[in-house]
Formats: sequence, C-alpha cells, structure tokens
Amino acid sequence: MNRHSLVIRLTALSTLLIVLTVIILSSVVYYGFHNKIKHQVQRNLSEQAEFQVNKVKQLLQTEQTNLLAWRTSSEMLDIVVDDLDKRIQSELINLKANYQLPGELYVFNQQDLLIASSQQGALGQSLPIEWQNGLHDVDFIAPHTVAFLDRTQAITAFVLHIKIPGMEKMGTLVLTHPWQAIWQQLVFDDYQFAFYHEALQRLDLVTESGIVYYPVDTDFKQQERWIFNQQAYLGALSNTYQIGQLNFQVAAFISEQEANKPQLEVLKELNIAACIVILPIIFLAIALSHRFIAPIKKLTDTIKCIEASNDLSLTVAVNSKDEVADLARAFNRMIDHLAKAFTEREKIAIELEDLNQNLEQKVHERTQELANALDQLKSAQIQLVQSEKMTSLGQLVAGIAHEINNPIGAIYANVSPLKEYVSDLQEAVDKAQSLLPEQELASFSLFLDEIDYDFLQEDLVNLLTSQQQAAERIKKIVLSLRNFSRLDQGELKQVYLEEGIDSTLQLLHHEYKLHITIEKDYQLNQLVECYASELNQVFMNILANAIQAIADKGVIRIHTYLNDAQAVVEISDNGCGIPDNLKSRIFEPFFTTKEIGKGTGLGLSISYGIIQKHEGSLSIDAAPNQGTRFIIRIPLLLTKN
Amino acid sequence: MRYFCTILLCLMPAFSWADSSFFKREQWDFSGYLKLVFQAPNNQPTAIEMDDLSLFVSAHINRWFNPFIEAELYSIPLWESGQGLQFNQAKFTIERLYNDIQFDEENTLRLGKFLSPVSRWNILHAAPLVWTTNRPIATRYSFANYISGLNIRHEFDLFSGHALEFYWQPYQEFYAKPTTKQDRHYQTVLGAAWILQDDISAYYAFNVQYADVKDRRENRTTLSFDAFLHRDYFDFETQWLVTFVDSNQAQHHAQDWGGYTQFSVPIPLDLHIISRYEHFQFSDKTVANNTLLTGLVYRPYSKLSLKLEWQQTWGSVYKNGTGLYASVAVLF
Amino acid sequence: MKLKYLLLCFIFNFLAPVTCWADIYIITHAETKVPSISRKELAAIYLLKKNYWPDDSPIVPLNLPAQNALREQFSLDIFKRSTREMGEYWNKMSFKGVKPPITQASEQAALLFIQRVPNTIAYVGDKPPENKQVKILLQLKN
Repeated sequence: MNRHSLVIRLTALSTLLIVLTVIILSSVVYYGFHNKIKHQVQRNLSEQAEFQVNKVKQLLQTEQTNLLAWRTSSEMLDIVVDDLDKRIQSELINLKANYQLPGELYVFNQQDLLIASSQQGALGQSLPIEWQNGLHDVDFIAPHTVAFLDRTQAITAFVLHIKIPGMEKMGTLVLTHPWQAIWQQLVFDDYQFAFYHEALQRLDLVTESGIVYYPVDTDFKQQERWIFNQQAYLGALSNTYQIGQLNFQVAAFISEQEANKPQLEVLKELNIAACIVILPIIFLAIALSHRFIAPIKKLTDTIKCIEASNDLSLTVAVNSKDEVADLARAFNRMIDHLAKAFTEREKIAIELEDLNQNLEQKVHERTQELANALDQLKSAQIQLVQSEKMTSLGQLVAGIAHEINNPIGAIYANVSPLKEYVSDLQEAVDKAQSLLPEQELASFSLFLDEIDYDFLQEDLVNLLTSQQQAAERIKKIVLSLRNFSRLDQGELKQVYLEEGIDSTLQLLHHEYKLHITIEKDYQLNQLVECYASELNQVFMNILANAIQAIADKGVIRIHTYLNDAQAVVEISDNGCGIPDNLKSRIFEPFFTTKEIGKGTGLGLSISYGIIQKHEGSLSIDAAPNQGTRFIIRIPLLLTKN
Repeated sequence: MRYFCTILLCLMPAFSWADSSFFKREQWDFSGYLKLVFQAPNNQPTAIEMDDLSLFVSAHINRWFNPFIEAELYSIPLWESGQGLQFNQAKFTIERLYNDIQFDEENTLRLGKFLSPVSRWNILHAAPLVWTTNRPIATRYSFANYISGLNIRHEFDLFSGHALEFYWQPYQEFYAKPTTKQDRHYQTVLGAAWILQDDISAYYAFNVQYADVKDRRENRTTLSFDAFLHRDYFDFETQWLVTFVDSNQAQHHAQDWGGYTQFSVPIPLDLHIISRYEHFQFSDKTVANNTLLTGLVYRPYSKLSLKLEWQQTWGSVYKNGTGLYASVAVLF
Repeated sequence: MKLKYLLLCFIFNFLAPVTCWADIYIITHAETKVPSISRKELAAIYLLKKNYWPDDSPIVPLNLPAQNALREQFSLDIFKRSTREMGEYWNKMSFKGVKPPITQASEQAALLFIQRVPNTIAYVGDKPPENKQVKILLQLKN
C-alpha cells in the first residue's frame, strides 16, 4: 500500500487521536478519580466516624432514655423507705435481665447510701465521689473507676436524680456501662477508630487488645496523615458529641496503603484495559478508515474504469449522504455532462471528421479539380499559348510564307527567265568570242580568264540550278510551313500522318542533316482522322527532342503501322536516353533538362495533351544511354465527345 | 407485630389489678387503649380494623390546672376481604381536650372538649370498659356525644357520686369527626345531667339535652335515663331515651326513641356471657331497629378483654348489621 | 401463672374472713394538719375523689399491694368491694385520667413512707407507736 495512502494516514491519525484521547481522558479521569478517591476516603472516614459516633450516641441515649423512664416508675417511690421491701432491687434485677444491660444499676437514697442494686452484695455502699454530680439532673460520667467496683475495669455511668413529684431529690439512680463494652464496638478490621478528646488533647486509639493513649497536639485536627505504630494513616473526625460532661469525637482511621489500594487497582486496570483495547481500536480504526475511504476509492476506480474504457456512461454508485457521496454525485453529474459533451464532441468530431474527410476529399477533389483545372488551365494555357503561339506562329508563318511565297514565286518565276537570259548571255559571249578579232579575243580571253569565265559558265548553271533548287526548296519549305501551320487546325481532318512527319522532317532537316540518319518505315499509309497541325506539333516536338538527344551520330527511326484500329507512330532514337527517374516527369509542363532559356519545357506536355485530345496515348520507352522510343497511338477515327 | 408484642411485654407489669400507671413522670399520667376489631357482617365485606388507638395524657398540677387530652387514631383498616392487607389509612381526632378547675372538692369547672354525660356508655366508651364490640344505638345516635364548651359539676356526695352537671356548647364542636350519612354535627348544645349515684356498684342518671343540628334546620331535645348495676354475679345496664326532633325535613316520626338492656354474667375461666336487646326507632326512618346480641368475653385481666359476639338486626341498620363481630381491647 | 394467682386470690378472698382480721389503723405523718378523718372521707380519699387537705396540700393515699390481705380487708371494709372489683373502678377512672393510689410493698414500708413523705396516709395492721412522726387518724375496728 502506498505509504501516502489516506487509509494509513486516517488509521494512524484516528489511532493517534484515540490513543491520545484515551491517554488524556485516562489521565484526567485518573487524576479526578485520585482526587475523588481521596475525598471519598475522607468522606468515608468522616461517615464512618459519624456512624460510629452515632452508634455510641444511640447506645448511650437509649440507656439514658430508659433510665429516665425507669426513674419515674412507681417502684422508685420505695426510695423513701430505703427499699424496705426490696421492690426496687427486684425491679433493677428485672430491668437488667430484660434489657440485657452490660452494666449494673444502682439506687442510692437521699443519704447517698446504696439501697438497691442489680449487683449482688453491694448494698450499703455510699455514693462514690465520681457519681456525685451535684446540680445536674442527669449526668454521664466519662470512663472512670469507682472505689467499690473493679478498679481495673473502666466504666461509664449515667447518674440521675430520683425525685418524687412535688418533693426534693429523693435519691440517685446510676447505670454503669463497662467502658470496654462501648469501645469494643469500635473494633473493626478495615477501619481503626479512636476517641478524640480535644480538651484533654488525647487520642484514645481503639485496638483489639485495648485502648492505646496518644497525647496529641493542637494541630491534630489539621493533620493530613497520622503515624501510629510506624504506619501511616488517613483519618477523619466526626462531630463532637456531648453527653453529660463528656465531650468527644470519634476519629476514623484507615491505613494509607489501604486507602490507596483502589487507586492502584484502578491504575492497573486502566493500563490493562488500555492495552486490551488498543489493538481492537487499531483494527476498528483501520476498518473505519477503509470504510471512509471506500467511496473515494470507488470513485477513483470508476474514474479509472472510465479512463480505461472511455465509457462515460459509467457512474459511481452512491449509497450514503455524506460529503463523499456529494462528490460522487457531483462526479456523476460531471461525467454525465462530460459524456454528453463528449458525445457531442464526438458527434461534432465525427461531423468534423466527416467534414474534414469530406473536406479533404473535397479539398482533394477540389485540389484535384483545381489541379486538373490547373493542369487543364495550364495545358489550356499552354495550348492557348501554344495555339496562340502556333496561331501567331502559324499566322506569322503563314504570313511569312505568304510573304515569302510571293518573292519566292517571283524568284522561282524569275529563275527560268534567268536561265534563259543566262543562256542567252552565254550565247552572246560565244558569239562575241566568235566574232572578236584575235587580239581582242586574246584580251577578251584573258578577261574571261580573269573572271574565270569557264568556271563562271559552269558555276552559273550550277548557281542557277542551285538557285532554282533553292527556290524550290524554299517553296517546299514554305509549303511545309504552310502544311505545318495549317491555320485550319481547328478542323478535324483525315490526313496521312506520314505527310505530316515528312513535313516536319523537312523543317528539321538542317538540324539533323549532318549527323543523324533518318530511317523511315511507313507501314500505315492510311487516312487518320485527326487535328493534323496539332499532330505535326507533336511530331515536331518529339523529333526535335530526338535530334537533341543524339549528341554525335545517330539514327532516328520512324515507324508507322496499324495496330488494332489504332495508328501507331514510333519515333525512336539512339540518343542519350532518359533516366528512369525523369521518365515520369518529362510530360510535366515546364519540365526540361535544358538550361534556362534554352527550352520552355512545354513541348512534351503539349504533345501529351494533344494526343490526349485525340484519345490516344503517348508513351515512352527509354533507358539511359540506350536511346528513346516514343510511341504515339491514336485511334483512326476520333469519336466526338 | 413486633411492636405490638413489645408494647404488650411492656404492659405486662401494668396488667395487675389496680396497679399504677405505665408511665409516671412527675404529675403527668399517660394512658391509652387499643381496640382491634374483626367484623363479618352479612352484608358487608369481612374486615379487620384497628378501630381505636387512643392515648390520653392527664396532669394534676394544682387546683387550676388539670389538663386532659385524648388523641385517637380510629378507623384504621388492616385487612379487608377483597382488598387484602392495607396500612395506609388512619383517621385522627382529638377526642377530648379540657382542663378541670377544682374550685373545691365539690365544684369543678371543666373547659374544653369533653364527652357529654347523656349516656354512661358515652362517658366510658373505651373498648376495654364495655362488654361488646358494637355499641348500642341509644348510647350514641340521638344526641351530641361531644361537648366543646364548659361543664359545671357539683358533687353532693363525694362517696356516692351524687352530682349535678350543667353543660353548654356555645358554638360548635371542636375537631369534630367527619360525619357519615347517619351522623350529625351539632352547633349549640345545652344540657343537664342529674347523676343520682355513680360509684362502684351502681350508676343512675337522668339527662336532658337540647341540641341544634349543624347545617340543618333541626333541633333535638333528648330526655334520657340510664342505669348500670354491678353485682357479684352479673352486670346489668340499660338506657332509654326519647328525642324530640324539630326539623324542616320530612320525618317519618316526630321523635327518636329507644333503648337497650344488657346483661353480663361471669362464668368460670374468666369468661362472661353477654346478652343485649335493643329497640330503636329513628325519626327519619320508617322501620325501627331491633337488635339482639349475644356474646362471649374472655377477660383474663381487667385491662384485657377478648370479645366475640353475634348480632342479629331486624329493620333499619345503623352502623352495623347482622353478623359476627370480634374484638380485642387493651387498656394501658 | 397469673391464673394461679387469681385462683389463689379468689380463694384468699373467701378465706380471708377465716383468717384473723386485725384492726386497721389509718396513719399519717404527725405534722399533718388534720387530726382525724371519717370513714367516708377515707373512702373518698382512697377513691381519689378527695384530693386535698383543708390547707390545700395534696393528699397522697398509699395502698398496699393488690395481693395483700390487709388491703383486701381494707377494701372490703371501706368500699365493700374486693380489690379485684375495685380494679374495674380503677379502669374506669383511668379512662378519666385518674390513676389508682401508689403502693408500698409492705406495712413497714408504708409506715416508713408516711414518716418520710408529708401528706401521705396509709393503713397498717399493727398499731404503730405514736411518736413525733406518726399519727393515727382513724382506727377501723374489726
């Protein structure tokens, strides 16, 4: 698991929080508990002290109440007669038996003589000084001993005056109570009790073996701890209880150890509990963290799924109502929006793509169209230019031809007369020769030798012949030109291709005459429906190229034949050939391997266009340094389209 | 129960005859009595009830100051058939609260609330002092039982008890018991009692009382004679009275009248047989009441008696009808 | 136990007349202002109907115990009723707030009592010596 994982962090955080909380709480609780326990102990001690004091109080008060009742009983009247009939005595004995008194009852008469007692054999004793309480009607004597009783046993005594209604004190009623019987009630295992006499500054600690007396100082009450028998005690005092002349408080003590036991136990238990609880807490924290993180994880998974599958229709299941659920819901909404947006986008994209494609297509098409158009335009342009050129050329040529024709005609026409004149002249010369005298003849003959009349005569014939030939040639050329230019080129004509080729050859004669041999192989010899002038252009271009291709000596072979209702013209040369990489480019307009200014690069493209126009094909067969062969195929009959 | 036994235990010394009181504190006397009733009337649920728990305190300080107070808890149901044990109800009343001023031996003025002397049973109605659980109608119904006012008593003969009393309730009863349907509260009462003899052996008295009934326009004039004889072999008592009722309410008769006679005969083993017959005509009822009662009383000590009786009633019922009744009465 | 007592007393009651009936001397402290009293007065005193001497000092009658023979004799003499029957009377009186007279256990005690407590009267069977302390108010002859 990723160490940055939220689960781990949450777990750690919550565990930490819980542990911290637990520790803090425990400390606080323990501290509070500690204090509470302290208070509780104090309170318990106080309560115990009060309780015991009350117990003692109850005990003594019950006795007092009883005594007050007993002293008014009718038998007490017999005090007057010193209990002559022992009624008081028997009453006292009964009372002691009935109430199970731990002490004894004594009745003294007015002269302070013991006249009746529940104790045997004590009669006649005089009232001990300890029991002479003077003015008090009821008195309680603190632990003491009296003369006629066991001096080793301390007793407490209630001393009451006995009075007859309407008379003075008639006697004294005393109830003793062994002190031990009282303090023995304060012997306990867990607590230790003591009687505290503030006035006497004395603490009577009650132990199993007896009472131990400790003198104490005035700050006894303020002390927090007391030490008895080398043991530390915590203690508390009860309220002061006064009975008779006795004032005392009961103090309750508990050993400090005892008192602290619960705290230590609690501490121990807290520790154990903490240790026990920590592990489940951690697990719980982990579980809870997982639970909390689970929705987020789910969200993440869904997102990943969406990412992986690109399926925006996935949604996150929302179960709860908390913030994560809100997030999930928001996420779902967002996804929804996104999905919608995406589908839109896709739609748009598809449309766009479509559009694009279309566009591309269209562009392509357009481009194609444009290219075509451009081509067309170019070719049209070329054609136009060409045709313009040709037209103008044609016109020019026609014009020239026409212009030339006339002079040529004149020349040609003049040649014959010239020949005749020349012959006449020759004859004249001859005649002159013949008629001249020898002397003159010799100067004449010298003159003739000077002008090289013989040669002149020969050459004149030659000159005239060549002139005539030249004029014939010019006529032919002009004719070829006219043929070539064919100003009526817009018309579809049926012509012999060979004538066109020949015309073209004628025009190119001076170019090739020196180094190229033309081999003709005319097999076609059929009328072909075509645009003759344009075809002548084609022948012109190709032948011109062929001528240019042959650097030195070479042969151009022209083969025409019929093949499959198509007229085929093959023009092949053994020139430098065309490299393969240029083969495809030669028909491109403005493509030329010549230097700039030396060629337009339009020739073959126009030718190609012209052949295309004829619904024919222009193909090439060439390899470097192996010559080139152009193959023109055009149908015999051009279908009008 | 424990309390009761403890009390009983404490009372043991007091059970001897003519012994002094349970508690004497200077001049004050404390006494009391207890009546525990078991009743099984025919027409009512069986019940056990503490009918009376009375405490009286009296003091004899001097001539002028001799107060007496009797406080009573009565009608404390303990068990009723169908309702089970219950200890939650008790009624409290001050039965008597007066001071006697002894001008001299013969003349006493009593001020406060005291019992009217019309019927001896009324004066001494404490359960341990009467022979039956149920009280005769004539001893309570027709006249004012309690007087809150003053009483002047003149003794002609201290020994025989020949005396004359006059009493007057000027306004109304103090701390009256709440009335039941059949009882009345009185406003002004005026009466006289001529007690011919009131000693150990006999009691005779004539009584006249005029009483104004509270909350009603009614006044009643009662004339009564009652007697009590105590002999060795029997006790006899009787009372006869007539009350003239002057009321604005329709009465069936112009007066109440009636009376009873009762015999009590001791038989061995501390038992006594009781028989009583009573006839009483109510002024506001058509049918008179006739009651015949026979009973048995076990009285081991004078202060303790256990009574068992069967009462047969014909006619109108007052308080108790035909049935079996038993009670325990203790004086302490 | 009490039953036996009862029976005993019942018998005693009847037997009492058989035993010798002594004179009963009513005695009081010598200083009591009254020289003598009548039978009726005595009865009234012992019925607690007469509670004051002429000088307004309270009279305190002393009884002997209920089972005492002399008391029985006294009771029969004065009240014409046995002690037991008087019990009834005292019950009624207690209802009125009056307690029976106090008792002393023996005649000697009674004698001693009246000497020590003024205004008390008691009855004894043996004639007491008339001296500074004792005065005989009445003699009930048998």
